[in-house]
Amino acid sequence: MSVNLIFKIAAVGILVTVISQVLKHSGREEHAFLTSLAGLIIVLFWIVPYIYELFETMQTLFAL
Amino acid sequence: MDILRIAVLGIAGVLMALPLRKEKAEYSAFICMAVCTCIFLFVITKVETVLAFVKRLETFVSIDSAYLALVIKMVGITYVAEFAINVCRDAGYGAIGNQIEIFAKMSILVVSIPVLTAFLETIGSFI
Repeated sequence: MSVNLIFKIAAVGILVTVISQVLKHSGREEHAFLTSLAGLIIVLFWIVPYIYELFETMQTLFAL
Repeated sequence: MDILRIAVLGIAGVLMALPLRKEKAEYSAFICMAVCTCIFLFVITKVETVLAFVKRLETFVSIDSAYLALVIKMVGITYVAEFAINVCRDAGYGAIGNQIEIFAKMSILVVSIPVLTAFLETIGSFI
């Protein structure tokens, strides 16, 4: 699970970059911004539980 | 053998984050965070073995378990703080990283206060 998360994030990043470039050149600035925002939120939803699980294990392991 | 996987994972992450750095810096920060978390999960398995060894060591040497727990807590604080500081510095925000660093140092100092008082009391009892 952990490794292909990185590949998924890279894929979303590249996709959003390409889409926003295309939208920018076709004159729709706000759409480009919206797509990059959407990509950001998707990746955030993927990565936050992952980091939360990491900190959870840290807490139980070190009795913080 | 494990180190090879970690090294390849790190380099792959960097190579993927590089092209994204110019147009979309946030995605390179995401990739960096994902790779850091992934490697940290591998570190935790190593830390568990070390902690098990330390617990076993406790039975041989009569260390007071409270101090050992404090040391482990300090190591934990350092780990988490180091992770957060480096992620912040990579994203380019050194100021936030320094704030976290100062907070980590303070919390370690606070955690180590009982040890210091015990130490001073033993010194006092000698004099």
